[in-house]
Amino acid sequence: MKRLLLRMPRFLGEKLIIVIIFFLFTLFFSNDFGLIDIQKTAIILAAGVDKNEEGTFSVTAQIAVPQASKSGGENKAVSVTGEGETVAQAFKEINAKTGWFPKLIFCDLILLGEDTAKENLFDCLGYFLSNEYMSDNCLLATCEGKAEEVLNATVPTENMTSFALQKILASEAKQAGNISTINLKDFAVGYFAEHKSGFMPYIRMIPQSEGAGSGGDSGGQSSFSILPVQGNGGSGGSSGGKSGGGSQGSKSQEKMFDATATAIFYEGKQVGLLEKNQSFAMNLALNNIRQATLQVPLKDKVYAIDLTDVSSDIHFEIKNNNPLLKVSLKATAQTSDASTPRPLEEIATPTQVKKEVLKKAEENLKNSLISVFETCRAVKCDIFEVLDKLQKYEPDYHKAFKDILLQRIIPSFEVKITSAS
Amino acid sequence: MEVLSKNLQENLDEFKRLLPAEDVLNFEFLTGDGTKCVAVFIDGITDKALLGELVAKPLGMYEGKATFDEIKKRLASPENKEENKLSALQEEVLDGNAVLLVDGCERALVLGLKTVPVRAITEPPTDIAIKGPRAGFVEDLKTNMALLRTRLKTPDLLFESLTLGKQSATNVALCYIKGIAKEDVVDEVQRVLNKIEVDGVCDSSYISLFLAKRRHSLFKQSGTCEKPDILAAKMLEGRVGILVDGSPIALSVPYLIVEDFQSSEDYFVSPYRATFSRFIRALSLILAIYLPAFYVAAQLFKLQLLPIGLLLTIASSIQGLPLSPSMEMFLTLLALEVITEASVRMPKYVGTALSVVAALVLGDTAVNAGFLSTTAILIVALSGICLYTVPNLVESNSLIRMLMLLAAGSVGTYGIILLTAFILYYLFSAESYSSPLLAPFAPVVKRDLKDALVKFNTEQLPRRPVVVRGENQTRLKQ
Amino acid sequence: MNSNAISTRQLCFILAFFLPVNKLAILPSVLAKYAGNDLLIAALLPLVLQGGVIFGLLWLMQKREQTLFELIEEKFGNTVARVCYFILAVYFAFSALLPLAEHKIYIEYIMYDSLPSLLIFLPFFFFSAYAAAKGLNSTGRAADVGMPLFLFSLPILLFMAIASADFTSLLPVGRTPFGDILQGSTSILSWCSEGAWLLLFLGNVKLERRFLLKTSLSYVFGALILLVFLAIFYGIFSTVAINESFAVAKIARYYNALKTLGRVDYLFIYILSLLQLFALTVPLQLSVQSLKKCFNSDMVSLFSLIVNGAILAVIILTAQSFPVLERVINGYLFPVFLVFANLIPLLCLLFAIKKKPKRKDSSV
Repeated sequence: MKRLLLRMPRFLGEKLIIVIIFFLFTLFFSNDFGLIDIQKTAIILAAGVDKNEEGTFSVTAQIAVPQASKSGGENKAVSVTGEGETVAQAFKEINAKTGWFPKLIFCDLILLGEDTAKENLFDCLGYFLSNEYMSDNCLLATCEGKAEEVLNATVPTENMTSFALQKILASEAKQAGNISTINLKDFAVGYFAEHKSGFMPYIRMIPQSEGAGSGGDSGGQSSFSILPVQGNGGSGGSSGGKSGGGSQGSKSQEKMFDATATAIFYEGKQVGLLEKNQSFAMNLALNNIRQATLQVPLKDKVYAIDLTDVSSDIHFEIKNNNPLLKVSLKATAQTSDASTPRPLEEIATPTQVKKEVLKKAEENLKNSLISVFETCRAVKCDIFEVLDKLQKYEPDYHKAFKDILLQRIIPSFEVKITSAS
Repeated sequence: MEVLSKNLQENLDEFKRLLPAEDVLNFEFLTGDGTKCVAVFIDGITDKALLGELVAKPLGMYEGKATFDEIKKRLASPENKEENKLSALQEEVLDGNAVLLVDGCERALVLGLKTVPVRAITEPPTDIAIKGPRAGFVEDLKTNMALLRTRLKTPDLLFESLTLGKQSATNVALCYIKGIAKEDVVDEVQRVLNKIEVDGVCDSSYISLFLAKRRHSLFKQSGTCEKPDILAAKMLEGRVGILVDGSPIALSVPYLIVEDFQSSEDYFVSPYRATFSRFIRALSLILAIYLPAFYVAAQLFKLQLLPIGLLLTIASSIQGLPLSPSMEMFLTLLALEVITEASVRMPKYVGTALSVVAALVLGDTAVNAGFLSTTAILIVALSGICLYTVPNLVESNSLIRMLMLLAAGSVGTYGIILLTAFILYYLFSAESYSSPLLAPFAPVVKRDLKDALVKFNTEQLPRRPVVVRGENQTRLKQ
Repeated sequence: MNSNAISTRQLCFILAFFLPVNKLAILPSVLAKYAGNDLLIAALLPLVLQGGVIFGLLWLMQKREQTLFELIEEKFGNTVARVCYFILAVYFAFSALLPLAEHKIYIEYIMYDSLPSLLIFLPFFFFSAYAAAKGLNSTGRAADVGMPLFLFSLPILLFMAIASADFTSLLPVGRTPFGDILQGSTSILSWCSEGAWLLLFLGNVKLERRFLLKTSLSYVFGALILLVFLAIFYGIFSTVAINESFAVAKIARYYNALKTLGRVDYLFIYILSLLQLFALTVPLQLSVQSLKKCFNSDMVSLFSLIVNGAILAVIILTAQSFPVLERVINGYLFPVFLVFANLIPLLCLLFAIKKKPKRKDSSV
């Protein structure tokens, strides 16, 4: 026995490999211990959550359907809707309906229907947040109407609506100041913070007129959210991208999306909406914007000026027992366009922006910032996170001010735009 | 009868008994005074022309009394020795030397007239260098020793000869540079070689099995090379070389895995290029081993390893395939191994045709028939090419690649990582003649890292590698 | 010095790279749960405590090249030394339990898209049974390989993550009630118990010049890396940090380039998990080495099978109840770690200080 035990190092060293290989072979060829491979998986690209009147959730999953092809080829998507008391149950129903196991690892967008946003979003977002197999850097957006309708819409630029929406909400759009892009983690951080506030892009569908290459104004909305034309599989303009759920529409039924508005939230519920100009001003104040275009109406002309090197500073302090908020914006501007013909000297020297244009731009931006703040203050949404700043930088005053801060705070806004030369 | 007698006929009869083969010939001639002489030799491996020219001719012309000592003096052949034991004489004849028997003498002369049909010195197929020496070892031990000697003209270069193999009686030469090689390594190699009792040694690889401390190891434990310049360089670092008669492959110990990532060319090009090449080799090897495994693990267990665009492309290409991703990859890799095996064994001209059939016809048809996916073939092809960037490790690494695939297909990414950890731990404790196999990485030998993956300038490498060198440590005086 | 000894460099690598790697998964969220934005202070307390113990043992290592066994044997006799080593063996096996259970759920998350079968984790014990049977020599070489693995993974992950971190989340400093901070500190004691490792390294390290300085700085480096990691972690997740259990696998995913490259951060996470495997086997190796010394036997493979078998049994039994295991060990059994990782090393130090320095060849 002892001899046997003494020989065991040799066994462990060299014969163990035989045991391992045998073990691996058994697993390899039996291949049946609950693994869900790529062919049994529903690759969910986007999920839409709608709340029904009876309080149940309808979850619409946009699932990529790879087409059998030697060279990969063009991929399509189907939208499948499941219903349940909870989001988890709704996904279970999708699994039951399709036989595919829904995997959220590639879910890069959660779209929340209008009715869902009216109630605490964490009724449904909690599922996504606690799902360890899903990344919480997926984008969040709410929409006009039902999320299911948006996900089922046909877009001229992409095979899959989710890809089109993700492009609108991409970080590039955020860096231009047009869209208030946010991901699940950041929204949750705001919700669980003391200020309990947050925001997310608000998506509207714009019917696309036949043959139109770009969206026109719709309901007073600007058309600058036209999608970048980057087809997946070269689908630009095609209408047969979807194979299920959505309507196989003609061009007149194609939709474009506008995400320039921003929904604002307090305690997880949507409490208001910031329109395009407000959203733009908010984005300039909250983000590091590389380059943004601002339209400045002056007399009978509209100037478009490019803002570069935008820097913002949100300063909070308590002075003489008064909470003060100072939002400063600084940017460099140059003219990029105007609505009427300009003299050649003006075109040739874009860096010399007229003083009155700059002044008007500053005034407009300042008014927009005031309007953002007041709109949010009215619904207790702490968009500039002053409560957070109170806790971090003035903790001694935290107890005294935490419940009345938004009412008591004295805001001031300063916008300074200088000509590039 | 153990020794020669004075009776020539008796001696010849005894030789006939010991060496009954038909190719053992007796060449009879008379000296000038009429003394009968017989040269016993084997047809084909003894130079008959030299036997006539250097032995029979001068003795035939000598008219004095043909005593044994006188005969010895009159011979024109340079390599002669006396012997009277029949067993020793038998070995000499078998070795290709001629044995000269003189009537009335109890002694014989062993004439060094061995000749073996030797292949021309050419560039070996496994060690091709664009820049640098092209001469490779051949199958003849003497030639190989000469090739080495011409590169190391030092009195410290020592050869120690041994004969191994009961039936083959293969000559083996242990070569090292005294002072540079570790003495205990030389002693240990001698001890191991002397202990070998085997029927035949057909190639140096037979000996490498005995040199290994871990006989069942997946990893080789002695270095191999086919070029004298490489062996000379290894010996200059302190290694001990082993040359085997009949084999163009020289062995060297201690062996470090890192030496297989080094090429002779690395020392002839700029250190930047050499470093880059070594990184490419290492990276290729990692790709060769891990790419098929990760591809399978990603599909079965962790789709997130693939970007969504690539995932959809792969998903498109595998739609409707009858095989699971792991089986698909397993069969494709198996096919690659079969093709490799067949290409090596097949005659050269058929082999080329086979490659075309295998690569183009089989691959394309398998994809068209919906049996395999293009991605799997692409990955296996890439892995196959990458594996050959380090040719000396192909044998073990192709097995490891298979094991990795098994681990990936059964346990997933975790299996790959566990197997990697297991192999590393195995290598941590593996040593080749007191030198850790993974040196200079584990344990870290700072000085030797200058010629591991990164190659420093020669003047920055004044000392021999710490793990293999002996007493003489300096190779460059600064 | 025995052939099983490790070099000073290898000990440095163990302190700098092995110590932090198994604290990157669940520990950050546990700290955030109790100490909130003051998690750095909560982490600092056990790290300083452990640092003190480690410094003491390193000093002892430099002063006396004696193994712990010899120290105890000298003072209390051979039988007591054997009993102590048996207790130490049990402790090392016990200390490996929670990290292994944590490792199991960690790999289930980072290496699979859906919850895999328990069978998937079993091959770990093939590896650990093999590795645990190896001597300290192999641990040292694993540490050598660990250095590039560490440097090629964690710093890159931190680099990817740092842009997403808002360090103002750590403000205001020191406002969390001390009780909560202390609770945070005690709840991570099991993760900061590597001081006990050094007990078995006593007399088994080849001393070099500036031994104490090099090794101490290595520990400080490892601790600093952990603190930087925690700061970045909280900077990213702030109020939701308690929900982010597998921190190291999550911090880099907000890196912008991943949108186009795919999850390349997994490459670095996997490299790090290879290092984690090496670090996980250290207490198992020490347990086996203790048993070897205790029974004065070379049957390391048998000891390895026993130790790994016992842990495997517990892992199977608690497969579905990691939170319970975590609560029991961190909530109730933390004094065990205090005793073995802090008190016993301090006692050793006291005993050793009273004796004259003695140098001789030794083994574990």
